Amino acid sequence: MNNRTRLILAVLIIMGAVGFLIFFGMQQGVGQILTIEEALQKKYDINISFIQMEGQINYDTVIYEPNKPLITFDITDEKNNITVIFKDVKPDNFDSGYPIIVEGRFLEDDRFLADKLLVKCPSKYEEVTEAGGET
Amino acid sequence: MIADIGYLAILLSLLLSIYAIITSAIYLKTRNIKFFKSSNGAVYGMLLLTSLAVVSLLWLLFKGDFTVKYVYEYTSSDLSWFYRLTALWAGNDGSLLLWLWLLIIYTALVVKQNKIKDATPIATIILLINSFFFLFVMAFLTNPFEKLIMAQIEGRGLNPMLQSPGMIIHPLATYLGYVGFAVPFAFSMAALFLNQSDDRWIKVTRGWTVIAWLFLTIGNLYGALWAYEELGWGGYWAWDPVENASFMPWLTGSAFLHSVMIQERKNMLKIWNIVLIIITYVLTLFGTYLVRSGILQSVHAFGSSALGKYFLAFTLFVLVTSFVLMLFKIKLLKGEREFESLISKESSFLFNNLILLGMTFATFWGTVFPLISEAVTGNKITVSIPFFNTVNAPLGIILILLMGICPLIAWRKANIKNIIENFTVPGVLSIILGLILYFYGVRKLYILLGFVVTFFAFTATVWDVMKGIRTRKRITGESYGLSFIRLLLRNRRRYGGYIIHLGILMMVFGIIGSQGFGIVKQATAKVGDSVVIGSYQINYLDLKQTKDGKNVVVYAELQIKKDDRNIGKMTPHKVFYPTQKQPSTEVAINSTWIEDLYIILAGWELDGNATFKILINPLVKWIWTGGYYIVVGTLFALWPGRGSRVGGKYVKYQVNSFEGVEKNEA
Repeated sequence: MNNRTRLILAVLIIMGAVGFLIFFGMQQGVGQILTIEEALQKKYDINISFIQMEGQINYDTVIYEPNKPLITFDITDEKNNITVIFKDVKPDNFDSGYPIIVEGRFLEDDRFLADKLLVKCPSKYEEVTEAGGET
Repeated sequence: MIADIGYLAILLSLLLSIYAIITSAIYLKTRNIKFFKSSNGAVYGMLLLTSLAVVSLLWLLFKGDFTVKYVYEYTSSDLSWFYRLTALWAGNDGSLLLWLWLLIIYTALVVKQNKIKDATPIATIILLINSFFFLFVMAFLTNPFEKLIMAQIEGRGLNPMLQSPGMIIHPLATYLGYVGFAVPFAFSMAALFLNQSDDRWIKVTRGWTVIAWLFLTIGNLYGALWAYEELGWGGYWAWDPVENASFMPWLTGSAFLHSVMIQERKNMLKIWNIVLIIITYVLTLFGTYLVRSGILQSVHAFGSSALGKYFLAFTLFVLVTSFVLMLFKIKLLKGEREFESLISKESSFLFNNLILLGMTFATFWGTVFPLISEAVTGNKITVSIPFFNTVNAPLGIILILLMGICPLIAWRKANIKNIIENFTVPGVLSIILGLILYFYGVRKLYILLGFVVTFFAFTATVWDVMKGIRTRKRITGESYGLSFIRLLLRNRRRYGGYIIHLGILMMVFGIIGSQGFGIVKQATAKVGDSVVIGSYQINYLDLKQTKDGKNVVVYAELQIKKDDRNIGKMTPHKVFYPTQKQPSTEVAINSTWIEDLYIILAGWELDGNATFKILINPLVKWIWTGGYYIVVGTLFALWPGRGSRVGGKYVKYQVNSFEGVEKNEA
């Protein structure tokens, strides 16, 4: 094997490794953005690693237990409701009435466990609120 | 009145840019020096006019002239004069003006320096085409001097998150970096136009490239610092599309900085270098497109979306024309020297480049895949943090390993002796460290590997410096101290690079530590209660309210003890700005070399019960400190004078290449 072949082989190995890592990463890091209605239809789809959906908070249903901390509330698109649980402190602008985006997965009892909650702030710079642990 | 002057300056500058492009082109055709001089005059004129526009906008912001839309949208009369001025880059229109102004300053400098007589006019045209685009956008799409139809007496105020010292340095530095890559890009294209296959364009623009890279590094780092201190979620990097947008050109820029060394020393990788500089520059444009278009959800996307199309079109235009030009001239770049061995400095640099490009590609993929997926299949998807970590963590570890190997391995072909000499001690020490860490309970693979590899790169670098000192001492008979200082000073380019590597290693050390060993705790406490996290005991003394100008501040007074030793008070707070609906959270951070104690006041009840989110982020301080090393290393390498040229380890080689440089420039 001459140098050129060896070099090409090495380059191919590196490219292959990068390709594999991307493929591997896609298996766990990619989620579906669904409407609330679609989310309800697809909640048992095992091919979806996580779901992102947007809706309004139904403020009548909010239960906030700061000492755990835990927020439970219904997210709604006017027709359908999904109960969301978010194990974190309440974000700054949670009560602002703006639409929110939640990211997570359905539990066996049909509630939605969110590990990320984002308030769609109309300001030019949107604030992100992340769940804990993602340093 | 002043707004009219500002807008007029932009319009005139637009006309001048067309004039300068045409006269430069005529000069190239006729070689009549008059046209060249006239074009240069037009560039200086543009500098004057755009400076006038910037000063006008600053003046309007300072005065608080709320008849101007931009001033109304981003400031208010209670804002301090300092943040009124920084509002220049708080919004879309103003930041485009800043970008343009920097670009024209750079263009004027290129014209003034006139380093390669035949290439300068072409490079100038290329830079001017970019200025033309920005001027066009500002003149017809996003005029920063636009007036309100209904005059307002009070502005909407600056977003509180932007009222932070980090927001001064981060945008400025990032822009200086982004725009800086335009210069090496312009000269690379000029070299192709002129059929120059040598490395003059690289030598002439090296300073520009390194400085652009430095600013981009500082920009990214201060962006992370700002996110850490202001956004208040406890982290510093979230693989947000806009973060990715400035991370990608940093990666390719780093690859470029390394691979040009191979061209300078070995006359190899010519095509590769052109490709890298094109990609780097296009990525800076693409980043601007991402930020302006609003197509992706992001921490700081500007709202306006009409602009996106224009930016995308211009980005594609630059990408396609530069690649077409390169393909036309591909013969010129071929016929270079071949790699002699797989285990050599040349090939280790190539591998380093491939890894950096691999990281760029993966980051790019993760950033744009949602767009592609939606366009192709209609499925809306989102790519989250685990994807980026899964791909970039292992690649990053390989990159750091190469950082330990590259500087030490021999050119052309490394032999066994060379490898044993350079790597035995660092290798053995690193394995010992790995065993110790394992023994003490560090079992996560990436964390363990990360520490071992970082330590390896560190010891390999130090080992090489020590060898240099010993050799120098033997030849010259100087003392160890003097040998050390002279060794560094005489090869500043090489050892400046080492200092930068040291800075990167410190950052990596901090990243691994904070990723691997962080603790989070949420707690609700009554006044008088105490919360324990790690070795800290936090006593909640009181909840108080105070006024800061027009803002109301609510803060918790906390007494902190570490291992039963008092280390002082911390006051996380929330600020209520009169111009904003929501309060903004200000975290309290107690930072040491070992860990940061990071406390967020999450909320409170009327009875004084308060909820805190408390994090322990280990080694974060090392990340910021590494940044300073990078600055020092870059300046050390760039400072003009003796020792800043291409140099080798061996005195003889250095003289040869020194003469080579002289000959090229003559």
